Amino acid sequence: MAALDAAQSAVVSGAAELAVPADAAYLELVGQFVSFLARRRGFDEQVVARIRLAVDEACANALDHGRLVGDGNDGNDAPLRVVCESTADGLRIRVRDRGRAFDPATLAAPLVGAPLEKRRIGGLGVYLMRRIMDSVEVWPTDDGKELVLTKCLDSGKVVAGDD
Amino acid sequence: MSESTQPLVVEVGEVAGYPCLRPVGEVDIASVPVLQEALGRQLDAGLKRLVMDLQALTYLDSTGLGCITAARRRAREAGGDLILICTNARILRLLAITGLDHVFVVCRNRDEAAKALGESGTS
Repeated sequence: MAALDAAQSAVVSGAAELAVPADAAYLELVGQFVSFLARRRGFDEQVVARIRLAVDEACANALDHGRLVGDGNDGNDAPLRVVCESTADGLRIRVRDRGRAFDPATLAAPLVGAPLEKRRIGGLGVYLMRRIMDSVEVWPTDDGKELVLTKCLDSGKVVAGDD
Repeated sequence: MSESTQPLVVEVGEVAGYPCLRPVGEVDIASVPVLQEALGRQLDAGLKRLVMDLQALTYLDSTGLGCITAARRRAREAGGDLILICTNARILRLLAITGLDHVFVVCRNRDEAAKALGESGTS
């Protein structure tokens, strides 16, 4: 897990929660929800777009791997829950699903410099989240997992390819 | 993902006699099957030298990147290629972050794409 424990950062203006069916058709709504709150928190449009991409990847991960608890079917009707919290430093987004927790730091990084024939198709979602956000953590919950993304307003993180 | 719903449509045209697929809208986990089907249709028909024009793409996530990467691999394995046209800074940035800017030939326009396909073989 990253050294920064996102849960220790105080929420300064409450939290907003959106629950949608675990269906890809609802991810646009999630994106609008997150973008609205990121703008309100003061992020510029370029960063808002990146945060939105990271949350989209988190939700896609939840849809792909979020139904593993129990017999594999018990999460099918469970909604995808997205919680946005304004913190003193920026924004914290929690994506909750019914999948098993994992440590993103232990995932093999994609071979981004490798030629086509040596690259694995897929596996870029967590990598993108980690490149965009200041921290990406995954915690187990009573009925699944919570993927916690944080972004600071004064983040010095420079994403490769930035103008 | 844009602020308003824009269902993905994949227009199929030609560049110098090669099929050119032009996705219009957003490619994400919800819409990527549309792109997969469009690419698969061309490759299944034995058309292994393809152009993908990303100029009308408003959003691309990792599932979309995986889709076009898989299509290029399939085209290459068949002796062909898949060339991209893109000048969208956001999409180019995504390609750079993921290292795919070194995997794909990315052209600025259709003339460049036609030339690149012509130079990449005759199959």
